[in-house]
Amino acid sequence: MDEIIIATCSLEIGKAADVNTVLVDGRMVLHGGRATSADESGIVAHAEAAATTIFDHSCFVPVESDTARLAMTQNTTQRAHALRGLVGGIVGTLATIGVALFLPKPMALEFLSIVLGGIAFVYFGFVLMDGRVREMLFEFGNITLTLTFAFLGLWIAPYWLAAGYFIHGIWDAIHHLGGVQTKIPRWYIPFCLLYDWLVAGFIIIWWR
Amino acid sequence: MIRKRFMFLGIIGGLVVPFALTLLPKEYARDILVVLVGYFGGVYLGIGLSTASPKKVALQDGVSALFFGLALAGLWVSPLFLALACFAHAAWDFITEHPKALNTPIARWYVPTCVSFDILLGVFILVWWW
Repeated sequence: MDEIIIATCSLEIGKAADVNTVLVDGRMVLHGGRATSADESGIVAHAEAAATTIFDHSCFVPVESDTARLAMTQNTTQRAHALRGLVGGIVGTLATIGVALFLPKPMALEFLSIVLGGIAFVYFGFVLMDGRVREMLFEFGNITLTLTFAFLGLWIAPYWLAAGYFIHGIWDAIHHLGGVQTKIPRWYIPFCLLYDWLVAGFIIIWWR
Repeated sequence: MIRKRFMFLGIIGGLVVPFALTLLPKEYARDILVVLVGYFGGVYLGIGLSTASPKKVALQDGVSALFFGLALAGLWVSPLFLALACFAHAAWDFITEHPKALNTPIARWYVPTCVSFDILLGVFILVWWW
């Protein structure tokens, strides 16, 4: 079987670097591992660390560059990530709305506030694994903002909570556009964006 | 030496935050602590999703759900669940990073800072609500 291995990082020849994502035939096999060598086009030749838990090292062999195949593989993978994220977002939203409707309104409001606080800190988990200071500062800023909205929603009016979810969705979009480059699983951004905006819409309709 | 410095940072946070909370009405302080425990859940979800091992993803996601449950229990049952969450969080941070346990490569400052902060916060909650 032909294997195409792509690293989304730019790896200098002869130097090791952290790898964001490694794809084999369009399937993500490594996220957040370490590449130890690459060929001239930046294709990962050897990877270690987390990859060993999923694939044997033997699959990380240099292959010839084939631009058309690489582009096709990347497009297919992007679509798969987007689809996975969107389906997950819809399922997550339905589950959250189900719990909120099941609870008395004041308890549901508290539940939705905790969820907003929780999803703000998911990015904190991502950036702790990423480790870059610039990204960490950006994420801290967003967490502070999101938590402020969570408390305003809890203590003043639920519409603040809806605003918090909506703004968190914008933060997801900023990640998607590359404004903040914290390492995140590709499917997570469409998942979280859809979830945030659907829950924001639900809160506005539900509290009216 | 560096770890001690970060631990000291956590101790300062663990003294300042409880002091600030005592200035608020207890109900508001509890809400803040509840969202903080929700954070324990969120952060492990992020850490879990950033690892390549499906087992670690499942484990961290499970732990995340557990902390989320503790946050709700702290809000609806007893604030003492929040203290339990703080101590559990300190322990899980240690397990997550330790080379002989989960060996997850987290930012170096996080575990010493968080462990000392969590323990002090847990003690504060126990004393304040007991």
